Amino acid sequence: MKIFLATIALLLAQGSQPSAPAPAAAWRAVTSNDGSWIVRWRLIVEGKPAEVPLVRKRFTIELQVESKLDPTMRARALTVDAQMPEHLHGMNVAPTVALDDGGQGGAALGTAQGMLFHMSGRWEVDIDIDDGTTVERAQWNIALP
Amino acid sequence: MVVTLLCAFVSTAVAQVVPVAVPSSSELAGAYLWQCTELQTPVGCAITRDGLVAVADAAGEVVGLSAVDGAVRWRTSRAGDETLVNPAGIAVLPDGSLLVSDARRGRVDQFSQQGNWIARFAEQVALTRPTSIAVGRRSDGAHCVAIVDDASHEIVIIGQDGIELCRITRHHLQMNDGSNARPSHVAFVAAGALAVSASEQHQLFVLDIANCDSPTNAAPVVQSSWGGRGPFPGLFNQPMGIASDGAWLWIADQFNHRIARQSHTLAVRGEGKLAYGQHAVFPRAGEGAVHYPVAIAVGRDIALGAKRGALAVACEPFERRVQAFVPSASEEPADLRLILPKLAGVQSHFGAAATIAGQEGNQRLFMHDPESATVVAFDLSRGQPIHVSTISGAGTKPHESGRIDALVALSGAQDGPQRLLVADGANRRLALWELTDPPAEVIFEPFMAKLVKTRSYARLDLPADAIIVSLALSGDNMVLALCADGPHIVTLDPSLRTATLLPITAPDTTARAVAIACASDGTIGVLFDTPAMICQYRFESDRWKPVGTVPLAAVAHARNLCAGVAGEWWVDDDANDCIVVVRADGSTATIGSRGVADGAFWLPTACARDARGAMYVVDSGNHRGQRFSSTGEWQLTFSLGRTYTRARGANEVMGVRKAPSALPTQGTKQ
Repeated sequence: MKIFLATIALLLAQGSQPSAPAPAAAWRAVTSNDGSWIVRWRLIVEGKPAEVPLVRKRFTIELQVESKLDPTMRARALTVDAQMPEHLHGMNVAPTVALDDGGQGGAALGTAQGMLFHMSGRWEVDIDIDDGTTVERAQWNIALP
Repeated sequence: MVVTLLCAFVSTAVAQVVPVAVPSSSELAGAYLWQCTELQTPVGCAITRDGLVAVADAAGEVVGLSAVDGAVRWRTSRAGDETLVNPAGIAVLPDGSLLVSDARRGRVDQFSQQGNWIARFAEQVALTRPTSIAVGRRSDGAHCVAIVDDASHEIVIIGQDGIELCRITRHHLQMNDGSNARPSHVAFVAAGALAVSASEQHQLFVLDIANCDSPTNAAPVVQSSWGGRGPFPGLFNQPMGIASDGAWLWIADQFNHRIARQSHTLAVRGEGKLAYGQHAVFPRAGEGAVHYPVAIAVGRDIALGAKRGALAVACEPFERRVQAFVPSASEEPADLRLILPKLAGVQSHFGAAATIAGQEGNQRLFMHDPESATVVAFDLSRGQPIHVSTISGAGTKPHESGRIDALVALSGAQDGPQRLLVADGANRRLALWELTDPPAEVIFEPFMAKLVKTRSYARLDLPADAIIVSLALSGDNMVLALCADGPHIVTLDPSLRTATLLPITAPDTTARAVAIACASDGTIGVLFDTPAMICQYRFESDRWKPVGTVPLAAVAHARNLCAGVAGEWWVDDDANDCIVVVRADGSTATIGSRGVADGAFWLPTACARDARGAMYVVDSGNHRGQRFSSTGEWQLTFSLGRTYTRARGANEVMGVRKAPSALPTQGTKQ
């Protein structure tokens, strides 16, 4: 019984210390839904790379957007949003999205600041990439404990 | 003491739970008076002080009704030497005569209260597609006329002498997000104050038009604006017609199935919770139940037989009727119990589009729900359509929809994922969705579809303000998008990356292109509504070459087109409530007739063919779909969550709510 209680206490303590050292979050990649773009992304939470955001804490998504079809093709605009499909709602805030087209080579760099997941559950992050002709979506899910 | 207290508590508790008859908001808003069903497509109405209810019937008539009981006094389909084609709006001039707009003829005509044509009104004013009309006063007291031109999205202000004063453009109707609303209907609420409904934006405006007195001076001031999409009071779902009785503004809130009553006085503009009408929950329900109202007229001092009083009339083209009620002028009680429309989720409301994706044994049927701006998916692999997903929802984000005008399934490669293309006329874009593979068992899968991409109409080089009204897939898997303006066909690759816009030769009539379909031999059919015909084309090098026209003499108003398995065309006739099948040899057959029994239709608006050649027909007015064999035999009726494979008569469908003699009968004739 003591071991059980100790384990519970340890788990609670871990859960109440989100600022405990976390492994450096690596960039992850996803292909857009029509295969035109590679989107690499990572989360910045409280100024540091993180695996998942925190409930009711603003965070940033850093993005690298690169064409799979034509290396010279650039994203002209990005829209970043998130929704909870099970709950039929999105965020209560609109992030500030910035895009640097990356100059002559490499991927376009983008940031979405001011993201806010106001409740736990499965969130779907949607990146809509405008190439001047179509707007193609890349998406991934984040399970927020 | 304890017993006494307990008794007092119980007594109080019982007193609190005894039901008290509380009037609904609808009963407080008005009292049902009469309805007239001797109409085809009533879209505009006006009331004269002398007791005439005048109705603009888009099927080509102006009809005069008695304000006392709704009896038809007269009807006319002529405007001088010309034939009315598409009456869209009607208003009463100060002398009691009527102004009627004809959207297809681009004209406004003046009629007497007896239905006699007097003259063409404002002949010198350029109008392309005049729809809503309102008569009122400018701030200096002079009478004027406001007319919505639905082609240019302008409101034309005209003096009573027929001279154009100015044009209010959509740029004067600015939404909070900086976009511009498109005027749908107009009504004067006071001298110099014009109310405007913007249906697509679910918004109302009140404009001060004091500074709109010459073609070079059109500077209306937006006094107030309110709205948004939703069911709660103060929100709308595609508000259409509006009317003022001097005290209140009445709004035909189309997809909320109610006539909202709100204040238009400056201090509390947009306030008011009362709404006349309970959403009709079974076909043809009326007498207080309201179904898709699109126009409203109100008057306070109307001759009603021997007495005078208030009257309101609403047009419900979905039910082919107008409905009159006595509008309330009273304030609403503070403890009002609201009854909101039953629109919490997707209902069996089906709009004018359907498509089937996949191969035999793996097919899905897609239809759409206009109220919620969603696409509903049915699994067809078990013999009966089973609702397995709901896609998209109302809004402006890329994965949301404003108004779904057309659907087409892209079959793609044999083993590739199914895709669905949606034409969204309100957000003015095409949206391409990808569907997950069906699971081994049939389950409801809310995440069946993910948005792939969108392409805006602005990037298709369409004519200004044009929309795509129909989609088809060619034999070589190219997307064909029909644009009624021109008309044009846009050809897109399945990834929407390339697009080619080409005009097609149209018949020299007032008919509009409404649907496109591709026959198995590669012939493209474009359907024109009235006079109905199918114009056929083949693509040759760089143009659409006309290869024949199929006149549809038996079709009163063509709505949609589908290619059958044996080279025949299936045409939805939403005026005669039937499907007309035109075979390759030129012979025709008619399936169904007006009614609610299985095999009968009320406003059939679309059809889609499955891999075996069976045809799924969207029976919009009966809130259902029906499946027919390739030779026209009824097979089943379905909606969300139910399927009937035994044919039911009208009484069984209606639950014997009315005397059998009052019900339409089923009919299938060959």
